[in-house]
Amino acid sequence: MYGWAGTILRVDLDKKKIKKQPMHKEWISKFIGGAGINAKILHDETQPGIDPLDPANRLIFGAGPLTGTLAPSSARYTTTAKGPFTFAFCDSNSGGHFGPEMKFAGYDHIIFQGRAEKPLYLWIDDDSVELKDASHVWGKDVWETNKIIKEELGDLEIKIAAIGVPGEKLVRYAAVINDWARAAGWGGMGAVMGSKKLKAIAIRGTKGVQIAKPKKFEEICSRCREMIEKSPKPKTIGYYGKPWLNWLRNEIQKSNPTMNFKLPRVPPSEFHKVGLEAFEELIVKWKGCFNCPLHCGHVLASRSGKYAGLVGEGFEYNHAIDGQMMGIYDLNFVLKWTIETNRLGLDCDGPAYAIAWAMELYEKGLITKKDTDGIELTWGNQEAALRMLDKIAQRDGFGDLLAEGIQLAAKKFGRGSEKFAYHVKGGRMEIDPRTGWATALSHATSTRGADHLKGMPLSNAFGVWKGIPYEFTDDSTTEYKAEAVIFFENLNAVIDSIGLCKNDTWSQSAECPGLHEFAELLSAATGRTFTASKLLRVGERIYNVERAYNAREGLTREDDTFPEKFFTEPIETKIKLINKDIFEKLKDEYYKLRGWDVTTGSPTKIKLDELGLENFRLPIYDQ
Amino acid sequence: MLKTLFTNPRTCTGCRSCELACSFHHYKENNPARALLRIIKIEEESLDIPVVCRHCARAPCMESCPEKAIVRDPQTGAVKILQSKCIGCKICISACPFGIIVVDPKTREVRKCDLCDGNPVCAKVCPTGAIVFARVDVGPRILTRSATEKTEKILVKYR
Repeated sequence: MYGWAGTILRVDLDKKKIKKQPMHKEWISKFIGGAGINAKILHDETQPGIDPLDPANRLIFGAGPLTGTLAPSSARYTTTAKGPFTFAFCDSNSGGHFGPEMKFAGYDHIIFQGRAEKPLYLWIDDDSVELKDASHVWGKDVWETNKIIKEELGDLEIKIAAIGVPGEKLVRYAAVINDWARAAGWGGMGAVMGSKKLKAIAIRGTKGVQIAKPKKFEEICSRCREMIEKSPKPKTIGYYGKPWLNWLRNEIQKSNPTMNFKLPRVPPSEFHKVGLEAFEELIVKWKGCFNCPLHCGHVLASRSGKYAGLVGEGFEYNHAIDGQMMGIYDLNFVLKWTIETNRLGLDCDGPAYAIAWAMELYEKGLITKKDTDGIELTWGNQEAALRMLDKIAQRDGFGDLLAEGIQLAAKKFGRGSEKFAYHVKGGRMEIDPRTGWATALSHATSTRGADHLKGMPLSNAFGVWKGIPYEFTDDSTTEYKAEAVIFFENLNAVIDSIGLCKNDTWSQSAECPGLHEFAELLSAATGRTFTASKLLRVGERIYNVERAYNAREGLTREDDTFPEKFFTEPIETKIKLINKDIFEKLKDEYYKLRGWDVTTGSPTKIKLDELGLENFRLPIYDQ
Repeated sequence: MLKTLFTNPRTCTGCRSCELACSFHHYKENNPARALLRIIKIEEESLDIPVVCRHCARAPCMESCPEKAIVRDPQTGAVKILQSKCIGCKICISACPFGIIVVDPKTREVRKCDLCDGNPVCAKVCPTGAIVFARVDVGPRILTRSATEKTEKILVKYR
């Protein structure tokens, strides 16, 4: 096959059986691959209402047809499962070199089902696939696991995705870490992997990805590369990485999650400590995922203070937020936090948001030292944050409660703590939804809990597509915003399904490659015909599958909302707060445009039939 | 004057665009495992080190070949393997001080960098100048420039 590797690998951990299935032609035309086919598989193979950490859940790794190819930033793969802290549809995307290696070995998707009796890891050496004993690495952190497995298999260039102790102990936001410091962080995929007693996946691939029209493909790829090089991206994200977004949010948009949303943003008097100049001091060099011309990652070094001498890969927009959420305005600490969470195998935000929640409770007197095992959870206490991180990783003492994620932890703890747990469908907010209307709508309706990567419009790409004026900075009116969110949800579903990155495509910059280029790339790579509008239709279909999954889980319109705070407490942005009436009207408009039921927010029979998703209807529609 | 490849590990981001482009140029497939250069990743130390054929002035691979199958291209200065003469003994792999002569995982042939006949794609795609194709006397000066960037910043700051 061209573009796709052509094989789906199914690993039954109960029976220790491995099966190879050919890629379905119908799936390809309907869902393309990656996140799209993952979503379809999860919907088809799981029953509603299962516990996400039950063997009945699936864990699906999926790469897209462009993953591993010459197309710029072709590093991405997606993991999909029912989410351990959202209890809804969940997927998590990662870069690095693992996804491409999956393709080089000859696999588009790997489906894990059941639960192993003893810890195992999967070793894929091109066509030869075997489950190997992992008892000797069970209990080890991600980096030790990497080292031991590579040595054992006798090749240091093998690509590994692994979980650490938090995954084994089912910390609900444990991450799958691939290539040392790249994470499928959101959603707790590490916990699902741990629940299956699967420690790691090690891959060596030498078969490569074949291209239908190599010469044409090469031409389009160079053109796309040029577009990216000429766009503003290299000077912003290509230089500062994601901390650039932190600056943008704090100083331009004037909203930035700080101290568990107690403050609207980092106080201007403190921002120099976490701003771009402070960040620049840390840079040693830049670091990129597979075939990325942009390289938004860095190698950073702490040069002063108590972490002086610390060197490691870092850090993302999220990490910068993590520090300030706990009231810590120190990038040296953020580097330490980044390195520790990568090594442990945790999503960086999960523990930070949980600790921030606890810090607010501590301040309000709802918890005391007695609850926190003697740790003083005061704002800005670096040592306390790091000690609590270790406790979370081990599910030890108070860490056991925080390991549940803010939604469940607040429910278990009670005592009025729910009021301070800010989340949508269990998912924490990395961007303040009070920033603007499209931000609010996309955070509320996202299928995997509050999230800015599913549908938040980040660029004026919408204008490029339809000629409708849309400015990044003007998110203060509701005009066109429902349409914009729908467009970006569909677009992002396409990007996650073909295997490219959102950073240097339309998702974040109109000057970068978009749907037209994707269509050209896919057509040349696979030898099939793709058009921009056809791709957008696929995106719509995928998003409807995700939504249909959630509808089947019993999620409705009521779940697409925010905690009371965001409706009542104003911040410095143009819209100040989310006006409930306007918000509900915007939701009405969104569901209508989506072709969904306005009262329930679920995809209607008509819509699903129109998209060729007859099997995705709720049973109620068939009565 | 002849041109050759120079590498700068300080700016390498480890993206392996070069490996990918190399495999695509030579075999029309996306397959870094077949690339004729390597990015060595030392993850514990956050290092990425590009390793390319240096096309040595006195090439040990050429000197060790029992069949005289390794020759220098007079046009490009590249040290090349003549596949028709190669017997696949792999002695050149042992002789190479950089370990950058490879056995192709698909054909099992011994392969090495040929400078893409004078227009190496690895240098072309490298986004950060970690692989530079330059005149043999100019290349080192490019690296000097890159190395003084930090000094430059400090000098500007404290001017």
